[in-house]
Amino acid sequence: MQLQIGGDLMTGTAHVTAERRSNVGMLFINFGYVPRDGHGGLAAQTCDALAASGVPAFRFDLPRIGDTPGELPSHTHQFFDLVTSGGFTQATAALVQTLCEREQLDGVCLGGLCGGAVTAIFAAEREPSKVRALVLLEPEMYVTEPKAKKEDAAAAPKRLRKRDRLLAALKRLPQGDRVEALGVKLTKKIGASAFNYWGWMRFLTYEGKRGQWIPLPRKMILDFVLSSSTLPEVTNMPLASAWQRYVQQKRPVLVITADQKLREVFFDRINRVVLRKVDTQSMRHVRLKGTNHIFTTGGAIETVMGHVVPWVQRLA
Amino acid sequence: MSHAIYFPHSPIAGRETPEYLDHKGNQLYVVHHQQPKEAVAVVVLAGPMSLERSQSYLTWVRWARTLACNGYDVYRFDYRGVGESTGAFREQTFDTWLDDLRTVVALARSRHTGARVLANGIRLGALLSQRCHDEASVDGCLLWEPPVNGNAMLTDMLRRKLAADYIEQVGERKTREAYIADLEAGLDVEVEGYPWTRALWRSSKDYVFAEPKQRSSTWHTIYLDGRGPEKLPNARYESVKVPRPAFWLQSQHLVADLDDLFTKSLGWMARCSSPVNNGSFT
Repeated sequence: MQLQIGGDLMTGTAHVTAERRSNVGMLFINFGYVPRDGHGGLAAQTCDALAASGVPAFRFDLPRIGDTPGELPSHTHQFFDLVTSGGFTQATAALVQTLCEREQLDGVCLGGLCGGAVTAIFAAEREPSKVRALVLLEPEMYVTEPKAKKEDAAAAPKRLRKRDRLLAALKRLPQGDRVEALGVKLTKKIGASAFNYWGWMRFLTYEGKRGQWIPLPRKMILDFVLSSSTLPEVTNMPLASAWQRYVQQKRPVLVITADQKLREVFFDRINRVVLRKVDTQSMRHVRLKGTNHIFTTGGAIETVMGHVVPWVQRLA
Repeated sequence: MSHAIYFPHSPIAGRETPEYLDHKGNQLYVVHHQQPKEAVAVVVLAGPMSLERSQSYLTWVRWARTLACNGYDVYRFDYRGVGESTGAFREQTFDTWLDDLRTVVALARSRHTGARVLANGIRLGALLSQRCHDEASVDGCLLWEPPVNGNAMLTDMLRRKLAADYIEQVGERKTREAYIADLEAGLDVEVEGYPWTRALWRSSKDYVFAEPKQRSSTWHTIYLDGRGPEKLPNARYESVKVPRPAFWLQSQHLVADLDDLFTKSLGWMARCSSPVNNGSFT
C-alpha cells in the first residue's frame, strides 16, 4: 500500500486478516536503515502471524528508507544522528494518524528495532492517543558514537591532557628517531583505545573485534559501571525523558534486548536513573541470551516472535 | 555520452508501482519503474539473497532509479521467501529463485512487446541472470560481482556467520565443516537469520559462473573488487572498485560513491540497447 503523507509517498505492506479481531493494529517501522521486512524477515514474519490471528498488521518504509524516497544521509553515523535527534518523529506520527483513519483503527502498537525503537518512543509522545503500545527491540538510548566522541572530547579535557603529557614525555626520551616515531604511534593508538569510552563498552559487551581475546571479569566490571546513580554522558536526554514519561503514564511496552549486549547495558543503566521511582508494571522486559543486536543468530527470530505475537494479541 | 545518476535528493523519473504477482501459490513482490514515454529498453534487476539483500537495498533502489532517470523501464523484485514476497524461506532453492526471475522476465516481455529486455544481476542474481541469458529468455545480461559458483558464495556467507558469532560470543560454536555436515545431513542451519536447508545447499552447486553459451551474445561482467586488467579474461569483463565494506555487506556508506560502476553499466546498457547492436554486441 502507498500513502501520501505530506510531501512523501510512503510505501508499506498491509497483512490481510481473514477476520479482524482487533481495532488496535501492529505497525512496524524500519529497523535501522534496512527495508521494512526487517533483518531476517523478522517484522514480516511477526506481522504474518499477527494477521493470521486477526490483528491487522502493517509495515512501512519511512521517508529515505526502502521503497520510500527521500534525501538520505551519506553515512550511517549521519543517519543515526538523524534518528536519535528525532528526525523521523514527524513522519511516523503522521503515518500513524493517516493509517488509523484509513484502516479505521482505534490505534496501533508501534514497533521497531534499534533506530526504529528510538523513533517509536518519540512518536508515542507525539501521538499519545493513537500509539496504544510499544514494541521496542534493542532500543538505542544513547547518542550515536561520533557525536558522543565530540562531546566526550569537550567534556573530558583532563583525560586528553594526560594523554598529551604522556606523548610529550615519550618524545623527550633519548631514543633513535625511528624508535621514537614508532613509540609515539603505538602510544597514540593505545592511548586512543585506552581512553575511548565506546571502545571499552564494545570490548566489555563482546561487540568489538578484540573482545574475545582478553579474559576479563566482564560481568563484575559492567555491574560496577551500572551501579552509578547518574546518567552516562552519552545518554540521549530527550529520548530518556520521553521514555520516562511514557512509562510514568503506565502505557504498555514490551522491550526485548540481547542479553549483556551494548544496548541492553545502556538501557539498564539509564533505567536505573530515569525509572528509579516509577511504577514499571506496564513494562515487560525480555532478555534474550546468545544472540546479536539484530537477532539473526541463536534462533532469536522465532523467540522474538514468540514473545511479541501473544503480547500484542493480548492488547486486543 | 553523459548519463544521469540518481541521488536520494533528486526527483524520481516516471512512476514507481509496487505490485504483487501471483506465482505458484505465492506472491512475488515486484516494483515497476515505469517511463512516461517509450522506454529505451527494459531492465529486470535480480538482487542478492537474504541479509545481502537487506544491506544493499538502498543502493539497489538507487540503481533502479538511476536506470529510470536514463529512460529505462525497470522491474525489481524479491525472491520467494525473502523480503516482501511470500513463501517460506525453507522451501526455496536456487532453482525456485531462478523460476522467480524467469517469471518476472516473462512479465516484462508480456508488457513490452518488441522491446529489448536485459537482465542485470548482482551476486546470486548474477548467477541466475546468466542462466536466463543462456536460455535466451533475455536479450542481454549485465553481471555484477558474480561468485565463482553458488556453493562458494554460500560457503563465504557461512564464514561471515562464524566470524560474527565468534566475535560477539553468541550462537553455536561450530566449525564451517560441521555446519556443512549438518546441512548435508538434512538439518536446518540458521545463517544471518535465515534457515538454510540441504536443498538450498545442494542446489547452489549447480550454479557455476561461466562464459556464455552463445558466443556472439550480449553479455558483460563487472567485478567490483578493483582487480587489475591482467585478471580480466577478455573484453567482456571490466572491473571497478567500490567502497569497502561493499554495499551488500555492513557498509558505513548509505550513499556510496558508485559513479564509476553506474556510469560503466549505463554505458554498456546504452550500447546494447542501440538498434545497430541488436543481438551481437559484447
